[in-house]
Amino acid sequence: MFRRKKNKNNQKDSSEKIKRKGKAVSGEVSEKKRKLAPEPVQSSTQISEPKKQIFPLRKRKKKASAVEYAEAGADIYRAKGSIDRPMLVIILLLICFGSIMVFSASYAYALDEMNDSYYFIKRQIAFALVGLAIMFGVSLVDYRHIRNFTPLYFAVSLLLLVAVLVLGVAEGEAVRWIDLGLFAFQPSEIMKLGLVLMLSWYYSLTEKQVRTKKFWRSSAFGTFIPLAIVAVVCVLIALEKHISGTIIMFAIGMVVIFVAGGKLVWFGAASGAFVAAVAAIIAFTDYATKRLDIWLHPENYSVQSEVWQTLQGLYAIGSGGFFGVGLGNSRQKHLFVSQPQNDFIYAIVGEELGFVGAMLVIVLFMVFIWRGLVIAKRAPDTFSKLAATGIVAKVGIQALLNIAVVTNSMPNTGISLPFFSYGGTALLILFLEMGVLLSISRYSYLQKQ
Amino acid sequence: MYVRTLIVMLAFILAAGYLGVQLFRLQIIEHEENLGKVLDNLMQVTVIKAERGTIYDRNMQKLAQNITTYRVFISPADIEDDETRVHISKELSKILDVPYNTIYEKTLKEKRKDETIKEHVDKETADKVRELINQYGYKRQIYLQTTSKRYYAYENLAAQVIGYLGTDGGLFGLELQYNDALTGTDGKYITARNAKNESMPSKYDVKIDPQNGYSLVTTLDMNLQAILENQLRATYEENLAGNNVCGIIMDVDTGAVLAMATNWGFDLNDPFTLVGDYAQQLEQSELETNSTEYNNLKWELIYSMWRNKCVSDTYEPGSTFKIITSAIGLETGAVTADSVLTCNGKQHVSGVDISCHKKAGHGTNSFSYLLQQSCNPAMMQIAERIGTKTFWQYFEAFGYLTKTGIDLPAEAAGINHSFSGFHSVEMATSSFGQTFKTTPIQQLTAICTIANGGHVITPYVVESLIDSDGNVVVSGEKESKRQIVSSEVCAQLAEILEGGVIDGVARNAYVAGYHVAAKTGTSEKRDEEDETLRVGSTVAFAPANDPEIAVLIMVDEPGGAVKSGGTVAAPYVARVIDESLQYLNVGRSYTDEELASMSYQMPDFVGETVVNAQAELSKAGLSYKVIGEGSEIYAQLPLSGEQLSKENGLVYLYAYDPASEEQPSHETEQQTVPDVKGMKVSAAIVVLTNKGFNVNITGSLNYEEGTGAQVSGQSVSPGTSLPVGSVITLVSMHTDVYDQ
Repeated sequence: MFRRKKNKNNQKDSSEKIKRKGKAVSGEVSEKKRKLAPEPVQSSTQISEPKKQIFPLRKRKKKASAVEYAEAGADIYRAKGSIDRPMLVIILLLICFGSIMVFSASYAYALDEMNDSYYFIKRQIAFALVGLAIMFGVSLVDYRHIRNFTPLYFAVSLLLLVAVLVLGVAEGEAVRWIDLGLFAFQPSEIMKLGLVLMLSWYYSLTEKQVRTKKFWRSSAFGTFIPLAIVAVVCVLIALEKHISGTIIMFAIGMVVIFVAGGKLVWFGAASGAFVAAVAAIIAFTDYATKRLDIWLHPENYSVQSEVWQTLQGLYAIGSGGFFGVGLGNSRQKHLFVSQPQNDFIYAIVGEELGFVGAMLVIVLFMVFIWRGLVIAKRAPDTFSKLAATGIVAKVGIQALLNIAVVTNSMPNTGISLPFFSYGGTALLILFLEMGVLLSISRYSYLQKQ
Repeated sequence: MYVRTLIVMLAFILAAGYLGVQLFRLQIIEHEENLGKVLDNLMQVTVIKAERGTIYDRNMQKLAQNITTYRVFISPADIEDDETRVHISKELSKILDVPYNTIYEKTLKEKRKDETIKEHVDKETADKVRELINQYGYKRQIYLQTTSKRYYAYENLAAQVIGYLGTDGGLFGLELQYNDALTGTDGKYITARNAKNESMPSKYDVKIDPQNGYSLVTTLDMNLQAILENQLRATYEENLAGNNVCGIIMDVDTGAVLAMATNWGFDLNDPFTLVGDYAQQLEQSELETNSTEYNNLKWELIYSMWRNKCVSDTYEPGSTFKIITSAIGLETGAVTADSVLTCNGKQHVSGVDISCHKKAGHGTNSFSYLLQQSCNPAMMQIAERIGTKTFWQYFEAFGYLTKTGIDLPAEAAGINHSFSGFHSVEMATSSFGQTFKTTPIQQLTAICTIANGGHVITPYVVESLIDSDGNVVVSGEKESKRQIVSSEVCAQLAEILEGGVIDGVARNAYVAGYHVAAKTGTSEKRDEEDETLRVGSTVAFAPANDPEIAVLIMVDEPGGAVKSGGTVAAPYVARVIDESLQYLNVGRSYTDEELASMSYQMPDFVGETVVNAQAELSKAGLSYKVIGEGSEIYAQLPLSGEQLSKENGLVYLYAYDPASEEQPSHETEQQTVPDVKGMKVSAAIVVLTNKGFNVNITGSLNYEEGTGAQVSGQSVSPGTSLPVGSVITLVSMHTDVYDQ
């Protein structure tokens, strides 16, 4: 359904644009690309001839192959160049750092559990290499192909989310995994990208309606409909009893909707409702009350395995001190922090590399977010802007929530640390996202000054 | 859109900032606490015990050492069935001598993994246990652990000085005083244990080597200690000391304590078992065994048994202090050796009459004579001439006002007058050693000052601390503080005191061949209700002309008829000096008088001609009797090497004719040995020589003077039949010495 609608719209747009494309400087836009013509970008001023001034932004990237006009008469140009190198460096730094920490953290656990100290690191490196290949591959794809691919991806994700409820492998109370024999994966991980792309795609189609001055119309298109999409996804994940997944999904959705121009008044209302709901749940359910108490006073519940994990994680971080006990010298990874290569890997970072190392991880993520948002800002159209923002938000939110859990700044829920936590399919999907981000980074718009 | 992106960025930065603060709190502020938790829970710390230092005597004999023992323990959790339980209990009971039921009950504690069956098992027994383990495959059920035990090779010698190592360190004596140095610093072996309590990789292991304790090389000499303790035991038993006896031998120049003993040395390997008099007291209390009173009394007695009387008890030194008064007098010029003083049997001081022990008085005589006779008024007169201020200054200089600082625990301070309360009466009584109290070590230290030429010394027991490689870490000898009496005065005083041994109240301290300077003392125990209680003591140093050692023996509450220090302490001091100097290879030097009256050592006359033997004996001034015909001697009595007194000595020589083929033979006349104990020595000699025996006299000299010395012991018990000419050794002792 979506597809058709979208296609119709697209065809209209693109046909118009192709006609206007005559003034492209390089004129290297292929037939394919003409079909994938960019959407018009709103502008207030009149366009003029593109000048070489456009290059200083990508000074060193002399290979910039094309600069095309976004729209005749617009003051914005689409510039196609190579991928954003600072972002690539940050990604490589994170994955290298992460892999080293997986090795260090998993060493003892792997020896104990798998009788092979290298079990996890071998697999992590393999997945990382495959992931990097995926990333570079995807980064070469024009993001507009990805945009066109979005409805299908979202539909499949949605189907998988439904499927997991039926076919999923139970892990305690929660049912999150689909086991394909060769490997298992979490549909919710796939859906994170799906939701980001879906919202971006949606806004790229409904921009006029969102921007309208009519309050209700704007609210409906800019806030309610996307919220409904988010809600459907969240409910499906909540049905998996996957609290952390639901929260992250919700947060990602909110960030995208916020940046896309959702009405603030509804955010205010939603926040109020959210806080009220949480308060009500805490007040009226013993379970939540107890969870809160456990969070606030973990030392009183140390017998519970989850709390044990939190406490041991805190001890690990705390024992690191300023410079840490040294890479590889964590004491807590010796089965005290169970599965230290997973959600609590940050605790091992904190122990081995101390405050300096722990802050370095946060700083790296902040640089990642900053660079990701720069890519979003430079992105040539609504879809690319929002997709970049959403991917960055997904990584950022997950990283900060993970660190918040490990430092007991929020109650313990299973959230992995991107680039650091061990996890095959999650890593592949992360690199897929990075591929999309880098793909977007190849395109930027330039505004005449 | 741009603004909202910025807001998102800002939100991330704020969140990251918050997490940064959290990290700072966890890693910097709460770091110690968290680290402690990690270490507490995760690190297994094995203490490597530092080896406790050895205590040596000055000949490097080990007084206290560590020996390896074993702890036998079982792991009841690993014993599967009752059959095994019974078997293990039965076998261990047999080997370890522990009741079967005790062991069996322990095997029933199914959750325990470490139940001690017996500690400090010796190697031999441990080997048997090991054999049992191997034979039946009890590797998981029975364990042996190497432990260490303190072993005191000399058992009861110097027990109170050496001290005992309890579970938490030394309990008394040197083990307590030098506990820190002996203990050393324990090492650690830190191994990391993971959550499953398995060892973690060795890179987490930290080994901190233990710093073994220092060993003590003491100044004690176990040979001298044995000499001293034998004499203490003798006087304790012979004079029925009511409150024990103690004694010290000190090096006069350095203050090194060569021997220090309190009677009733208990076995240091079993210090909680009462011995001797203490055991008797507990028995006689007739308290119900293990009742509270019984246990209280028992502990009280154990603590008194551990008490080192030489440093922890105070007494009034009595006449032995007259040495100090005299030294002050001579040094300040208040008196000279030839000063003439008069004793009327009492002295009038500030309206109070203070009497002399000799009620009739010593009359007008030289200071030397009066000191030798231990005259009280003479001392009071000298003190009066010295004056309270000077007297007090010297009193302080001799160390009576402060502890000596000896390196032994629980040193008592003397009990003294205050200077503001020190007037002529106090000084008068102090001058002959009453109305103040001092410890034996304090008293002997002051005497050493006189003996070494006037230098103040600090007594000490530990010569040096040596580390495990034998390097000297700390040396114990203290430098002489200062000279407070001139060496001339000291020499003069020594001469006077030696005179007192030859012909004064210290006669019992005489040792043939050694010049002994001694002063005896008998003091009242004025703080006790029983006015008849006395403390008899003697201080001495020898050789008087070049002193090496100073000896003190103090008998607290002698219970015999005679309580004077000259009787209950001096003879024992003499024997200590005799044996000690002999052991220390100090050569004897006899006076002519001594040589004349000295005993004669029989040469071997067998095979000699009768003529030669007769000439030899005549030269020595001995009578002889030749039995049998012939020119050559084939037998003699006394035998070769025996000592006999030249006085009234009669040697029996048995002669034969070497030319005749007849076997030489003779009949010897037998006589029964009479009981001469308690007789005057001179009378005893007559009795014995009349019977045809020879006599050898030991003990105090000048037994013919005054009322005469008595025989306090004879070498052959009365009623024994002996051939004439045999030597009977008598011990002479003066019982008429008054020296208060």
